[in-house]
Amino acid sequence: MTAFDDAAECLSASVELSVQGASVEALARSLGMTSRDAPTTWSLSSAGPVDSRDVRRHLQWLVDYLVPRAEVLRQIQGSDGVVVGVTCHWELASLGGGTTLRPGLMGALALLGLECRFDISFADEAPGENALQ
Amino acid sequence: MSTGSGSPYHRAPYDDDDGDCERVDVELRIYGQDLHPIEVSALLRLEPTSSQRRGQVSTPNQLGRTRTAALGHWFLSSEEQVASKDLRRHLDWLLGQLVPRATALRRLQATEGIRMTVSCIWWSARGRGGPAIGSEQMKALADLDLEFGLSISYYRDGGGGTVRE
Repeated sequence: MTAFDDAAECLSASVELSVQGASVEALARSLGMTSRDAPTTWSLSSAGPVDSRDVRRHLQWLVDYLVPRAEVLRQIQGSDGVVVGVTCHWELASLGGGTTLRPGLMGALALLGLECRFDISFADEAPGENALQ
Repeated sequence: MSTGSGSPYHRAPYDDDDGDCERVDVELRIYGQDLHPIEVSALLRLEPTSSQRRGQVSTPNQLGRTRTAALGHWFLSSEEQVASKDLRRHLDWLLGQLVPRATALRRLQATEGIRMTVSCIWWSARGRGGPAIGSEQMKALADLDLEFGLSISYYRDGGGGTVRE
């Protein structure tokens, strides 16, 4: 993978794993997630650990973090009424931008059973509103 | 908002009328110096949306200028086939074409000088929102050894311009 950590077209990038569900507090905590809207919404963000404007760096960090903890994630995903998702927050500087996901990264995300949603915003526009609801 | 079901490739509901999306197109792109579109079509048993051979001269544009192709290409696009603003619906359609042809695709991928990618262009309507890609779709793309290129475009005047390469 050729990373573009300082991609000019991107002002910021981060990835957030979100879990919604009242019944998974202990599991979410054991996964290192913090409460965003206690006690039903849990979040794990790459914004602190990863300093890059390339969203692929953030996704790879999430994969590397979750693979050793996949059993806990599977328990969360298997819990009744729980919604799990990955949101890629992407703030673009101009009229567009892009990325290329390699098969290996997509395969790893798929093995974890994760869907990815992009939440895109542009400079001078209202913030994105596409995070997991 | 209308949502769909029945696809093998998704979990979250689809939004075929996503108001944040102006247009979306998903395309298999095959390139090669010595690519012969007729041979690719015969191997895949599929007709492309657009194709050209290296050295082929394009029809004149509005200024009367022509362009000589440096590479051959064979593209298969979802845009005219899928009436939805949800990227996943377009990917479902494309994967529905490709998965049964996995063996032929692998033969093409193994051909020297051939490059292949799935390219998506998502035109934003309002400068917010964004597409989603499901885990089963990512698995299918990975199994086919296809990279997934995502381009985002936004025209503040609301016009979906053409940014095709």
